Amino acid sequence: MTVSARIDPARERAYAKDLARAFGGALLFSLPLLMTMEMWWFGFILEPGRLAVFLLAALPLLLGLAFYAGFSAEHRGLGHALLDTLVALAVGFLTAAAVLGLLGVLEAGAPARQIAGQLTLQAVAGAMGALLAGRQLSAGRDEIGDEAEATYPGELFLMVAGALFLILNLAPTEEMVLIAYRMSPIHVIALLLASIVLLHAVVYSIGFAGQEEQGRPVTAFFHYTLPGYALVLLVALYVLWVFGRTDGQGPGETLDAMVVLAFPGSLGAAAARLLV
Amino acid sequence: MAARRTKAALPAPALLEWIMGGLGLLIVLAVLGVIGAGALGPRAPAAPEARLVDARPAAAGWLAEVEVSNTGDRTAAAVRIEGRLGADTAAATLDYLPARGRETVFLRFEQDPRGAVELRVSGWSEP
Repeated sequence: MTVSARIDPARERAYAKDLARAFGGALLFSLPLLMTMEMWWFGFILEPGRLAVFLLAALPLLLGLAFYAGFSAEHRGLGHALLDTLVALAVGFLTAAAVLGLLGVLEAGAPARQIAGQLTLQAVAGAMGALLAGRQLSAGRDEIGDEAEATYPGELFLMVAGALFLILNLAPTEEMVLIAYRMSPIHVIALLLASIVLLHAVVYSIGFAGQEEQGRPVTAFFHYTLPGYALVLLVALYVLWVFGRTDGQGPGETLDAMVVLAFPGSLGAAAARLLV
Repeated sequence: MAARRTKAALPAPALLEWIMGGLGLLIVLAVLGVIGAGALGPRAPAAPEARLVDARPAAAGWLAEVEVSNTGDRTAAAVRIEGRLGADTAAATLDYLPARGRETVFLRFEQDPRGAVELRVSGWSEP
């Protein structure tokens, strides 16, 4: 792909429209996180190593989302998905900087590391929102995205992305750990079963691209629901680790917190088909 | 959906798209550089220090403006700052003191604290 020598004003205008929608999506999807104080604190509390892992791990995830649901109407495969990913990250970082600046969270004299940390956490959520914006904010333009062609690994990937999005929105607050502390083993098992039932009900009723699963709930259960729930649990563990919520916890408490987060995670995974 | 057909049918990305993509790449590399430097370099423990910046008379006694700075590479939480002026003592607590960051607290004394006040950070916790 080369940059064409002459600039087409109509094309630039159309892209500016896509971009505006991406900013809208980033704002809509990351505002709950932008207005959560734990997210501001995480900017300087989190281990820099984990923050770097979080940003690096987000890149392939965003690339996958861009591939399945990129915000630009014109879709050109993997190369273009890469460009979409970088644009989405720019949108995420700019949105986070603008809103946190406006809310007085960013301090002028703060060390660069603190600001970088605060923006990174928010920018990833914003970039996901920017990529989903094409799908969510463009009524009647259903030609965007390739998700109808998603393969089985692609379907599982979308579930992971949906789970991560919802888990990311809930995991920063103290309440997740507090809920885990308060729950008895009976509660944990009940919540685990409820999450699986919920995931299966939504997955099965919405139906995935592999339409042959339709009418075969047991097959769908073993193909999508169970591996989906296992992935959601792993996403929950990953987010807990990034946010330092696994430090100093026994395996039992960590497992309880994973099940608690996997509840919204299952909902996100199941709804990934609606959102993406 | 043949990739060949799609490529031929669609125009090249808009200039604005290249600009935003380049900006995204720059921001990500810069942020990774800043965070990576913090992750790979040595990490000194939190080292909060308090110093008197200013003092002014207030409705009741004097207000001492104290700047607490952290020269370490780790963030301190629940930082307790104590001041002693003869028999007069005052204390304040900071929720967080970021690594390499600085915060301001105010301590109230009966007399002018300048020159005579003893400031110390008595303790903190790891966040």
